[in-house]
Amino acid sequence: MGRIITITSGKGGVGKTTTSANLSASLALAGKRTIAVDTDIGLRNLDVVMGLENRVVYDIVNVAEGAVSLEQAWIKHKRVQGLYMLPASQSRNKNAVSVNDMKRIGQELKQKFDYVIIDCPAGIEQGFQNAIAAADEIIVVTTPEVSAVRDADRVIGLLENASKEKLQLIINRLKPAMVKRGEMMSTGDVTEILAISLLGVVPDDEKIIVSTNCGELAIFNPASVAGKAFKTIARRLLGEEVVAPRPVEASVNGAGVMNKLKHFFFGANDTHPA
Amino acid sequence: MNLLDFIFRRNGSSSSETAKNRLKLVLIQDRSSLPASLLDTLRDELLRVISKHVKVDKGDIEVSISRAQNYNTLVVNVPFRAPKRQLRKLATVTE
Repeated sequence: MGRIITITSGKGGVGKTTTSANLSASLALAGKRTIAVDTDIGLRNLDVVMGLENRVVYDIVNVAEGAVSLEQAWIKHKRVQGLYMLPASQSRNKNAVSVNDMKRIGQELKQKFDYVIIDCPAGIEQGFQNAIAAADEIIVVTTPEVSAVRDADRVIGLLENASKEKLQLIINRLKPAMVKRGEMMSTGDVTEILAISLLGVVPDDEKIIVSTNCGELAIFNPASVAGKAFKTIARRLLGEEVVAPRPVEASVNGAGVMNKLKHFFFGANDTHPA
Repeated sequence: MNLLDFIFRRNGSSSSETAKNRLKLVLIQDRSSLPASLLDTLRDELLRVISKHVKVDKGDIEVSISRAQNYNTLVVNVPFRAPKRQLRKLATVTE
């Protein structure tokens, strides 16, 4: 039996799809059969982020309606062994899939994969309810900004009401240099407010845009600090089965001499992405 | 905040602190979002209980929620008239 993990955030544009794609690929690279499921019906995007847009034939709505089988609809990634993607429909109404459809699809996928990563649409409506319906675990993605953290808090409240107990947080697009200057909330600030366990921190990285431009994944770019962070996070997800999660320190982006000196004298603090 | 941060930071409060404080305040309101009908229900039920003992007019009961930093308080203001019999007794005593 596999694990179904839903990636959600409330607010749009914080990096759910990028997180879903990179975590799925990292898990597959680690030898786990993994499928990434796009549930953003009408606003399909996981296909372009994963570079699979030219191979979409059927989608999740066709599967929900029973028109095609899962095997017909999912797309096998050519570069990554054991990585699959189930696309959302681009043209259909967002209510074309029900909570029961999702539970059924989730159960079926769980039999066939080690990891089912569900990319949730923004918002807290039907699409959100669908995306969390079958989830065993939830990852809430936020950025260290007031609006994103507020929405994350709202979503955490809804998840708790829906009796989802395993909630973990990813803080995306952290700018360590801004945190140092007191111009951005730190990891500690955000976790203090949201009060759920921290799975990882992804530093802001322009290379994500370059990766997305080309439909390649950041984890394959050795120069991408975000890619590195996603790989670390995937290891932590796996760690629950294999080894205990351990924090991995990444170097502070653009750290000046002064910061390095401070770091030397006063030790690490929570501005470091991990 | 460590010592050098303290020395090198020109202004006392940073915008990240402002962000954190604003968030905390807005989340207190978000998290305490109660159903709109709650205050009406409370008013009706309180009226029923209090009316057993003293005379109260429905319009007189004020029910509200006051929000503080870490907790909310239900504020109920119930002006009532003492039972007539007692008032009369009181009057004779003062005479």
